[in-house]
Amino acid sequence: MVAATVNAEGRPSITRGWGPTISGDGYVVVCLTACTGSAMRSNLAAKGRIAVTAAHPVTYSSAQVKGTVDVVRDPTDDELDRVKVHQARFAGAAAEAGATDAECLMLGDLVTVGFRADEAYDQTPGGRAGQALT
Amino acid sequence: MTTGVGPDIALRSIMPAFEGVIPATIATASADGTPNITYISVARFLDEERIAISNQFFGKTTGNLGANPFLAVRVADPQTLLEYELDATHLRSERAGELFDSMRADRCDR
Repeated sequence: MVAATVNAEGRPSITRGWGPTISGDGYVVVCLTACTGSAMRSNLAAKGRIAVTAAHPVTYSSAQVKGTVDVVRDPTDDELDRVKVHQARFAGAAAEAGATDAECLMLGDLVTVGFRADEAYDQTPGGRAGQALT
Repeated sequence: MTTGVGPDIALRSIMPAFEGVIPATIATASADGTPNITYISVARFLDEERIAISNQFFGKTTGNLGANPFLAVRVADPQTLLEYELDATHLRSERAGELFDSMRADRCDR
């Protein structure tokens, strides 16, 4: 899972996301890797637009949601538990692909971000890529 | 699609990250500051200031770059799994020629 934000000059930044939840009415909560002092951290603090793309590592079935950052805070214990579960599954999938040190992709400070998804798109490679999901 | 990249790190020093073993990601932004992020299959090193990206199915990415040339590309070294974020500026898009044909062949090989 990857996420992008944008600074005031229009420059995007990328990070990884862990342990997401999405409510029935489209409110997304996800923990993002965002080191103190990073562009990502500054962009989140400015509460601008955010995009999050999730992809299945084998099928490449993917979807992207977008919204405006509503909440940025430290993760709760429950959220950190979800992060651990997600990261363990990620490490397992990486190991199957031959990568035995996937922890490198999980380093960095975590922040919890909440936003309501007001756009959603199919990102699966193929002819439907980019089509809006309803 | 060819992009210029800042010189903070020598691109030649992270060549394994351009092998495509781990899918790279590209983020662009629309004129109103809404980001778009997606996976890409080919991000190729061209020289110390330029990389090339194959663009298939990227309608939003292409549209955003027409309005805002800034983009970010994140690549990962498949051996170390260290990730590198490339802050870049779109230079041009090509739809024919030697580089285009080479990129298309590279994508079809994967």
